[in-house]
Amino acid sequence: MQAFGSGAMTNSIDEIRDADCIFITGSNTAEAHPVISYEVVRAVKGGANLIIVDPRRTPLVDHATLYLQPHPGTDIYVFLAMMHIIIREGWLDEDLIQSETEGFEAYSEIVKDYPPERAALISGVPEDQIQLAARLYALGERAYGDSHYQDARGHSTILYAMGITQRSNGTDSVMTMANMSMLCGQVGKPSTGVNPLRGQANVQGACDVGCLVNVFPGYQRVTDEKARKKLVKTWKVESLPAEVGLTIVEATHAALEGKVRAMYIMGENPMMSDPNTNHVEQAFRNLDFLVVQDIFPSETAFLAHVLLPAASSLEKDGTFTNSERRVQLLQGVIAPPGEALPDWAITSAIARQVAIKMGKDSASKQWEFSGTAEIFDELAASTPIYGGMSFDRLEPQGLQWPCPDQEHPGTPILHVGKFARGKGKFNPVEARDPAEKTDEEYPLNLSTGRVLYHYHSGTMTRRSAPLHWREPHSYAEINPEDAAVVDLKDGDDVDIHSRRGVVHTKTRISNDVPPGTIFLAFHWRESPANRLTQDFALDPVAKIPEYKFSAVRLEKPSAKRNN
Amino acid sequence: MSREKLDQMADRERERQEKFDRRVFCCISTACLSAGAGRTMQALKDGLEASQSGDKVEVVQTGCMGLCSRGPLVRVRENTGEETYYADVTTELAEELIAKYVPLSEPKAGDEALAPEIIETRSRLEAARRKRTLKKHILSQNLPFFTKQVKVVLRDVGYVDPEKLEDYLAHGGYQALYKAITEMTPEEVCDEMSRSGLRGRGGAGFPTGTKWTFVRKAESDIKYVVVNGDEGDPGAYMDRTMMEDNPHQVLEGMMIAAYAVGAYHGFFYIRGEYPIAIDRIRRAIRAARRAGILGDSILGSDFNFNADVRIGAGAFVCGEETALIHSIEGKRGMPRMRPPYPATSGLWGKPTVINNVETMASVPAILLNGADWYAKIGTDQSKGTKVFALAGQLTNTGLIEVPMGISLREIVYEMGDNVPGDAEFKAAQTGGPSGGCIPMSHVDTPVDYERLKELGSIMGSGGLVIIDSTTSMPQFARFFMDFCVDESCGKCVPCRVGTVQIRALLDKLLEGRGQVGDLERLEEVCEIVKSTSLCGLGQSAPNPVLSTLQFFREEYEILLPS
Amino acid sequence: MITLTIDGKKIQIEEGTNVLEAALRNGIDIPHLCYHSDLSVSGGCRLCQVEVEGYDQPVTSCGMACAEGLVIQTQSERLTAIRRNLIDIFLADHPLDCVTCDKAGSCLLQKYAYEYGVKETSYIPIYSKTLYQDDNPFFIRDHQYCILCGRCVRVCDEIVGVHAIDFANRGFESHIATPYDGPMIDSSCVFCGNCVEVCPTAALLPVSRLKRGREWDLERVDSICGYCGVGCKIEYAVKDNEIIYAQASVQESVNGSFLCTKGRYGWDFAVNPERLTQPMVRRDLAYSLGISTENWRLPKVSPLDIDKPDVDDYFIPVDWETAYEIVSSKLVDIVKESGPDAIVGLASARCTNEENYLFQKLMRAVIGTNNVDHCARL
Repeated sequence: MQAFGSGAMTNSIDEIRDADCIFITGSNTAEAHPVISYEVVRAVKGGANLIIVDPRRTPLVDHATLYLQPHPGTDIYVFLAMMHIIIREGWLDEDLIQSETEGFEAYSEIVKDYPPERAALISGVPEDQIQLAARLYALGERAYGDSHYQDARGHSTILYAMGITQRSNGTDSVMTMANMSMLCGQVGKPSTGVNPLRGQANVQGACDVGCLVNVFPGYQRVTDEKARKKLVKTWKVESLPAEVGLTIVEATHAALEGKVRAMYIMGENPMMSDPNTNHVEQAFRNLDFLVVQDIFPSETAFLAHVLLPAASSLEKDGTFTNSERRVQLLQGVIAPPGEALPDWAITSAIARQVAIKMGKDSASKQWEFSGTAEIFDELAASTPIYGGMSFDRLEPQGLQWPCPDQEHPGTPILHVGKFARGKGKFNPVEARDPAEKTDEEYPLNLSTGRVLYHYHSGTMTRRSAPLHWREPHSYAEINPEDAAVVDLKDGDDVDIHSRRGVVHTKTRISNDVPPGTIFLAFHWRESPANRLTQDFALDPVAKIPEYKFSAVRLEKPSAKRNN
Repeated sequence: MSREKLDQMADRERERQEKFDRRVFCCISTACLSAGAGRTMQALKDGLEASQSGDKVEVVQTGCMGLCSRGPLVRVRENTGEETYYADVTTELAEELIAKYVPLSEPKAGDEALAPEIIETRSRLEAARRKRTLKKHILSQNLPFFTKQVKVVLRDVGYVDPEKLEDYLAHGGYQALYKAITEMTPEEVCDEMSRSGLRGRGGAGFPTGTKWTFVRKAESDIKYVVVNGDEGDPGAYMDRTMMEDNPHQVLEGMMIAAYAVGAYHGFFYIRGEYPIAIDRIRRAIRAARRAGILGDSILGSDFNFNADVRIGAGAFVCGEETALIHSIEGKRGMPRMRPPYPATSGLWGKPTVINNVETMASVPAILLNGADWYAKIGTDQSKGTKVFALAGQLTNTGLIEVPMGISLREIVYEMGDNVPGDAEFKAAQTGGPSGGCIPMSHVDTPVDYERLKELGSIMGSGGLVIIDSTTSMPQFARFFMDFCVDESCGKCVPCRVGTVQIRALLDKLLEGRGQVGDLERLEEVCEIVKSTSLCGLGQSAPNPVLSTLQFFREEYEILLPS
Repeated sequence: MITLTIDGKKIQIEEGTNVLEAALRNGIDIPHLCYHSDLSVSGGCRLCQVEVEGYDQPVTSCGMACAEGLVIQTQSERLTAIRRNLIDIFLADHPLDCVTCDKAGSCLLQKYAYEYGVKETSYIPIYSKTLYQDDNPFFIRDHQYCILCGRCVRVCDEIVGVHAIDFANRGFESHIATPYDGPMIDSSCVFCGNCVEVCPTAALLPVSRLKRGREWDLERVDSICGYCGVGCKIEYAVKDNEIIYAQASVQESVNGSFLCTKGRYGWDFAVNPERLTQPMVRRDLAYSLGISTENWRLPKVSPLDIDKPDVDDYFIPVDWETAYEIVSSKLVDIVKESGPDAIVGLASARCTNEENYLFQKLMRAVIGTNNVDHCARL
């Protein structure tokens, strides 16, 4: 993260229960991270204030002491106005700003242009609510009860998720959260910080170990020659590529153009999870060679040339790194079915053969592993933030990175006393609007996301009998006002059209979504939400697609279709 | 509202009342209403209207006059202060009463201006004038039922119109509150209560002043006062009467408590089975609010207070203070362990005073007359008066207020005029289902907190059920076990399952299936329930069995095989 | 910090902790059924009474705050008698069919009856509840075993925050119910099963474990949940290579005693018959490699538009050697023809660190491209 110097939850999950004020935005915590929502509920029941900023009314709003419902895409105005108020009222932490941060001057100049009146006008959130949110967060005020901490200022924590990142200005939003926490000194202490809730079991780990186009394991930049030299030695290779690679969405574009000819996909289902599915499908069909390694024949698998059967996480050893940077041990619970193998075994076998075929016979020797512990040791040697970890040390409760050496106890809270990058940096951020605009033809705004009983592209949960029983069908959440325009009743069939495609589903009429917004989860292969989403306006830094905004319209399916 | 305006209102009402030659009070409390007081009241009003003498005599609806077994009750009070009580006043008797006490004035515009039904009533009144039945209905005020009473709490009950704030003011209402907030510090109010020796009239007898002092000293920006009007003991209706018949007195006591502890919001928790009490308290709150007695800057001071009514949903256990708190909070009414006591963590976790209706109603008189005056009434440990609801097999049943320490004998034989018919007094149950039975052998026991406890019973809230020699004590105990089984909240296992087991054992005995050892087993189970239950309800649930076993063991023994 | 003495042992504990919790944290087990460290105090089971120096009567330890200098005894003849009596009462309203009960071995009531030697109830057995509710595939509610400790009610309200269940009726008629006793699915229940987790008896059981083995038949394996990024530790109960049920592994975990619906119930995908069990090659590629004789073409229709696409219609199985050979030669051919950047690797947020590490190393160190990404952003 550009502000503090690393991108992960700054604090630990079990600190949330002791927070005095919890600020949640862009996270449907109770459905996407239920166990974290338990922490939030505990805090609230003990007297903490809970502020939720979200255009969609998520279940946790039932427990909120303050719920701000900005018009979609306008939350950034609310955040900027909160900081405007905090500076104006003197609720900021001047000591921290003076001694540990830089860039405050330029930043505060920008914030001056975002008074609450302006935010109220644009976002529809009343000024007094913005004012109250600013005060509760900045000062860490409780609703009642005694604080767990003795400090003059209560402890406030920020939780966020894809609701603010899957946007063409996602990076801006994240930096805004970082700015706000630094401004109020709500960082580097227990129960504070900026905490992105990661949506997948090992998304944190996959990033940590370098499955990103611009970094090697441990966030060492591929463009950094020193890092390359070091890894060349560790990995015993002649050289390493120095140019930043293609991200998923960029790769799809390149495949359409023929620049990318082959893909090796391990445990992913881009046909369901990537934006603009029709586009993705064309790209995959255009590939000369597609390998899919998975536990199920996913939607993507049907476009592959070779399918490799993998063991599921219940069937293998290894480590996952959770949202709070905790590296934890997996154990095989049951045996994999048939000839399925753990992914590491498949990947190493492929690596050995590729190495041999590329004339690097000696390199192929490096791909012989007795088991996951040995791989982890090599990983730790290549990944400085994991440097002090080994399987033995991960019993019983894992270790939180950074853990650079074998004596290091791990790091539950980042930026204690000092920011990881040296000085915390205030990044001046201006408000920007979503990339795709609604118009007469596509007057509504589609936001995609998850429901409680399903996970990601549905490959696993839709094959779980109890979960399927509870939520068997796809549905779109539609505000009664929007439903009335096209004469739709609850449970009716509906077609959702965007500039990229059509998806058929059923309606769920609900006031949880504001008028003008449709919510559709992306778990359902029968109603693949990503046929509607756009892939042209990525966040310029993080390259995240804008899943939370696509212009759409509703139509009653034609009689022919119904028949 | 200022003190001056308050006094003006009171004076105006007093002057208005003094203009009448006499005033006729008709009880419209629940007991009399069920005996037909509604019709009696109507007949009195119709008669007065027909008499065309509304300027000379006033008919007033009031609360309970005490001797409920003889209702409807009517009292005639002359301007001179002389009073006559009439019992069993039917509509016919009401007309006779009007005929006797109200001159039949000539209508100003002549007979022809009167409506036909009024002319008819007038002719009936003429006829009634010749009847002589009224005399037989006069209740002598020299009856021990009246003479033995000392009225503090019930002083104005039966005289004031419960739906009329002015009437309460005319009786000196809200003077105590005014005194408290203008002349006394909260600390002084608490001290005055402590010195008076007033103890909680809900049954447990905790010193009120001490309780208030705890809450006054508790640090919190928000505090609450709760009036516990969830009276639930079978046969008890002291609190209902207070709320129905002089609601402002309860409200005034509550406000003084609020001032003393620093609360600015209070709740009346009233059981849903008391619709009239709920209605009257609500009226009283509205009237007080309109008059500036309730709300912000009360009587021109900087004391702010507001009150609200919460209605119980029929659970006996909600009279237990922690269950009551849960109920007001909108949760299921289940008790929790204490400590923390409500004084430190009550309603919504805030320091809370919870006092029973009668306790609150005692407060204004204590403040006005002084703690010393109050402390002179009663015994060493138990000061003041206690209101009892006399019920069961007794000639005179009704509501009495007696000084603490009066003997049971005086209550039963003198005030209650013994059990009717050929039967004999056998026992008195105090404290409702949580209490115990006091047998004939202890009839000279002074009624106060300590003595009743020594006998294995409790003072309770004031239910006093008289049992005569025709009643089987095991049957009696079973009735109360049934009550406890129904009313257990289900939270703790000894009460939930244990009471059912006690009842099952009683059934076994009563159905002739008793075995040697059953009585010992019964005692054993009762002791377990008593010693291990979570709240007062469970801890006292076996009392009716234990106390009847203690004093009437022979009645159980005959149920065993010989 | 406060110092008190329990059973002669000096204990230091944070102010505000109750005596029962202080004892439990120091390895002193005071019997308790309704108390749970993560939930508010109920006090309904009455079992945790202790002797406190200076008090005549035993005190309920869950309801007593630790105070400086307290001296507590958790065992005495009187306490044993009280606890025996209470267990005895519990058993008056709880069927003694431990011999067929799925919970035998982990039932707390059974444990305490054993410890205090209560073989049967001395009371007249009167059962208050007989309702059996199996209205959902997650868990059953067998009310006859319910001891009304209220843990389920509290966990649902205080932790999960949905308050789907509460006590209904009064006294002996009390039972735990959804609003108006309706089916679970019509309530606000989120099927997280935390009520099942905290239930001390067989009143709440996962459907998956019914009649599928008793506690001592089951092997326990701790692992990490494969769904979201919280990283809950789950204890799987396994028998003959089959998962029987899952519960929170309380030991040193992020999630403590709790899980969500996916973690607790969503593991059965692993044994779904659609699992890929052998390497496969698409029929057109197989034809061109001479593995198959059928000249097949990839249908134009999107796999998303086929109701239930069958993998066997598209692919033929091969052995691992063949699969590796095809994959490696194809990749190497393309690298040779178009350079390493013509290849893209997508790693997975659902694979382990080791696997992702190897995967990116394969792309970077062997193939020679930084085209390696995963769905971190999706």
